[in-house]
Amino acid sequence: MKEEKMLRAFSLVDDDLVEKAAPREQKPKIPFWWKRLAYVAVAACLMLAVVLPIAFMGGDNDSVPVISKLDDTTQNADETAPMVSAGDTLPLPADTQFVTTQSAVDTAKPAPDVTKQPIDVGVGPLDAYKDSEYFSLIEMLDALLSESEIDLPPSQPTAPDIAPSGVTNDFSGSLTGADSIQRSDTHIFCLKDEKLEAYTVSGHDFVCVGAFDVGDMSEFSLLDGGKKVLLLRSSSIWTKLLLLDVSDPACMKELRRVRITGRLCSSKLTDAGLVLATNYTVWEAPEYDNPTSFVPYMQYDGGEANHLPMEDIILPTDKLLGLDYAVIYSLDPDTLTLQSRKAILGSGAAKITENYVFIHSWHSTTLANTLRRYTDLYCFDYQDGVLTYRGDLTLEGRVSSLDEKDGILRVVADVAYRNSYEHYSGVSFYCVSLQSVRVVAELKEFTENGQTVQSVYFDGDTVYIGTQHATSSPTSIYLVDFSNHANILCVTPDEPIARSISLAAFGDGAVLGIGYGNRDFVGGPYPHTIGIFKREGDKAVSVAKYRVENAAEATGHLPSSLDREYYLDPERQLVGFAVRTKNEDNSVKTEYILLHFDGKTLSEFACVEIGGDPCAVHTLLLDGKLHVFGDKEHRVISV
Amino acid sequence: MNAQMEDNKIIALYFERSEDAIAESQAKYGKYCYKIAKNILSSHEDAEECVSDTWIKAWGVIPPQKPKRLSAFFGTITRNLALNRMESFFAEKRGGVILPILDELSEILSADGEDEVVDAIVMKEAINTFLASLPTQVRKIFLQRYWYVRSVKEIARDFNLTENHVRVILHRTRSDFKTHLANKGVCL
Repeated sequence: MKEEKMLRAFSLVDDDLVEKAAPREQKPKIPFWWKRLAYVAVAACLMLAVVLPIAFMGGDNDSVPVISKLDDTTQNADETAPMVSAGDTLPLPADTQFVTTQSAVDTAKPAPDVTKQPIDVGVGPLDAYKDSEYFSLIEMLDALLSESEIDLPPSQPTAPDIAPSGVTNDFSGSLTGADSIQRSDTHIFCLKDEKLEAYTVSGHDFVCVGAFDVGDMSEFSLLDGGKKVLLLRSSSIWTKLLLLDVSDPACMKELRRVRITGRLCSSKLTDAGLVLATNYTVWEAPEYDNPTSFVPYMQYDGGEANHLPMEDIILPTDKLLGLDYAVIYSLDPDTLTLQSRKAILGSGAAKITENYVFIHSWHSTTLANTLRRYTDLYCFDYQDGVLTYRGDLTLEGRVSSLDEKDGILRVVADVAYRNSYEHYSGVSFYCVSLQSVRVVAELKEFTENGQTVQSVYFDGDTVYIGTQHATSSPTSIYLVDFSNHANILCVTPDEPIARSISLAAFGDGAVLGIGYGNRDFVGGPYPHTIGIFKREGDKAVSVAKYRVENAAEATGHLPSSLDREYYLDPERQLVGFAVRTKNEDNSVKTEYILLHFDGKTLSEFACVEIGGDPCAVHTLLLDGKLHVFGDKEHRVISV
Repeated sequence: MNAQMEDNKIIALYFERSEDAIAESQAKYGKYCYKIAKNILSSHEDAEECVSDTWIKAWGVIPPQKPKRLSAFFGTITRNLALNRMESFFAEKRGGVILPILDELSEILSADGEDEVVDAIVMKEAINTFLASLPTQVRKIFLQRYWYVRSVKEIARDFNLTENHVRVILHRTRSDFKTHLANKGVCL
C-alpha cells in the first residue's frame, strides 16, 4: 500500500529530530491513599519485625504454572475459510419444476456426468452488473521493490451493462447480498443488513418468513437442531453473543445477550458446552480501585459486571507480564449460563478440541548472542463443562498448528535460531502425551533451511505440512507419518505447484490444496491454482492441478487463500469458488468456477458469470442443485 | 550491570565484541524499542522478537558503524523490522494504532495515481527540510504520531492538550506536508 510506503519513509528522518521527539516515559498513577496505606503497612511490618509478602499478580504461589500466550497461526482444515460442504438436501415441494438443460434431475446424487451441460439458467434479480475501474496501487509498490521500470497494464475500462437476454427467471426472492447463509432441515437462515432472516423454498420462490434485528453481529451458528441461533461478534475489545429462539421463524425471540471483555480467538460447541477462548488486553493505565479497568468480566443482558475471580487466574512463576489475559469460558449452549472459566495472565493463541483446550504463547530468548524461539503450552480439559488445568510444557519453536487425538497432542512448530554467523528456520513436529504432558515423540528440523509453515492438515496418523521459503515463494507439501512414534517418517515433497496453499480434506486419501500460481507479469495478479495431493511411495505428489486463466483479481500482491468461501464436496469430488477474470477486451467479470476431480484430472464442471465481489459469494446445496448467491445475482448449477 | 550506561560505553562494548553490549542495550533501550514495535504490531511476542532482532542487527553493523544517537539508531532498526513484519500480516494482526495512521497518511498521497519511483535521498531531504521548518512542538507531535506511531490520546496527555487540538495540529501539518512534497516534486 502507498500508505505503508509513506509510513516507512518516515524512517528517513534525521536521528537528532527523532531523539528530540522521543516521548517521555509514563508511569501509572497510584492513588495517594494507596501510598499512605503502603507506608502504614511498612511501618506495621517494621514494628512486628515480620516481612509480609505483598500480594500482587506475579507474587510467589505454590501452584502457579507458567503462563502461555496465544498466537494462533494455525491453518487446519477445520479452521480455513468457511467451506460449504455438501450436506443433506432440503426437501422441496413435490411439484417443484426446474428449468434445466438436462433431461431429468438426478436426485440420487451420483458422481456428476461432465458430458452434460450442467448449467441451469435460474437467475435472481436481473440488475445490471457494473464493475469499478480496475487499478492496483500494489503494482507501484512492486515496481519500487523490483527497482525496475515496468509497463503497467492500462486501467481497465468500466464493464458494459449486461443485458439480460435468453435467461429465464426461475427463482425469486433470492438470497443475494447475504453475509452468510446456513440451513436447517426446514428453513434457510441468512445474515443480511443487520438482520437474521429465515426463508423457505416454495416452488421457485425463496420466501422470507421472518426476520430479527441483530445489529452488528457478524456470524451465526444453528443450535438444537435449528431451533436456536447463536450470533456472535468480536472486536479487539469485546466479544458479544446473542442467543435467539427460532423454533418459530416467523416469531423469533431473544433469549439471552452476553458481553465478554476481550477479542475472541477460538470457539467450539461440544457436548460439554460452548467453549470460548478470548484475549483481553488492558489498553489504558489501570485504576487500581476499579477492577473493571483491569480484570476481565462478562455481562448478561446489560446487567452487572461479573469479574473473573483471582483464584481462577494462573500466574507465571518466572516473569511478570503486561496486563494481558487469555481467558477460557465454558457456557451452557442452551442458556449461555457460565459453567466454568479459567485465565492465564498473558495473551496467547487457543486451540479447542472435543475434550481439551490448549493455550500457547511463544517467545524469543537470546542466549550467547543466538536468538531462539520457544512456545509455552498450557493444557486444560473440560469434562462436563468444568475447566481443569492439566499441566504445561515448553517446546522449541513457534507453534503453528495443534491437533489432539486419543490423548496425544500433535504439534507442528516453526523453528528458528539466528545469530550474526548463521540463520536457520525450519519445521519441527512433536507428539505430546496429555496423560503426562510430556513429549513422547518428535521429528526436529526436518525441512530445508529457510522454510516456514504455510498450512497444515492432519489426516489420521499423518500430517500434511505446506511450507514456503518466503511470503511469495511456492509452497512445498511435506507429509509426516507418525503412526510409529519410535520411527516418525517424513515424506519428501514433490515440485511445488503454487504459493500460499491452504490444505483441506478431499476424501479417499487425497488432500486439496488451494493457492496461487505464477503471475503472467511483474505486478500482475496471481491466478488461483488448485491442486490434489496424494502420497505415492516416499513422495507427496500433486496428482492433478488446475490454474485459472486470465485471472484479474484486483490486487498485485499475494492475497490470502482464505479470503472467500469455497465449496468442497468430497463425495462428488467437486470444488467451487468465485474469481475475477478478464475478457478478451480486458474488461473484468466475476465467474463461479466448479471443478470436478475424476481421479486423474481436475477439470471445469461448470463456469458461470455471477457478477459482483467474488469474496461475497455464498453457496447452498438444495436437492441436487448448487445455488450460488452473489452480491446481486443468483445462479443455480445442477450437480 | 549499569542499567543506564552511557551510550559511548555501550558502543565501546560493541567494538570490543563484548556480549555485555546486547545486555546493556536491552537494559537501556529495551522498553523504548519494544514500545515502538508494539505500536506497529498487535502481538507482544512479535514486538519482543523485533526487539531481539534489533540487537542482532546492531551487533552485525557496529562496528564499523558508530551511531551518534544510539536511541534513534536502535529505534529506527526496530521500526523498520516491525514495518517489515506488519506488511506480511493480514489486517487483524496489525496494531490498533496503525490502521487510523495509515488512513491519515493517505491524505498526503498524490491523487493522480501516476507511478513514480521515489529516490530515497530525495525523500529524505524533503522530509527533513519540512520537519526543520516546523515549530518545535508541532514537529514533536508530528513525529510522535508518524514515527513513534503513538495514539492521539497519548500525545495529548504528553503535551497537555486536548485530543481535538492534537488532531487539528496533525491535520494541518499533513496538509502542509503534502504541499511541501508537491513543491519538491515528490509524488507518492
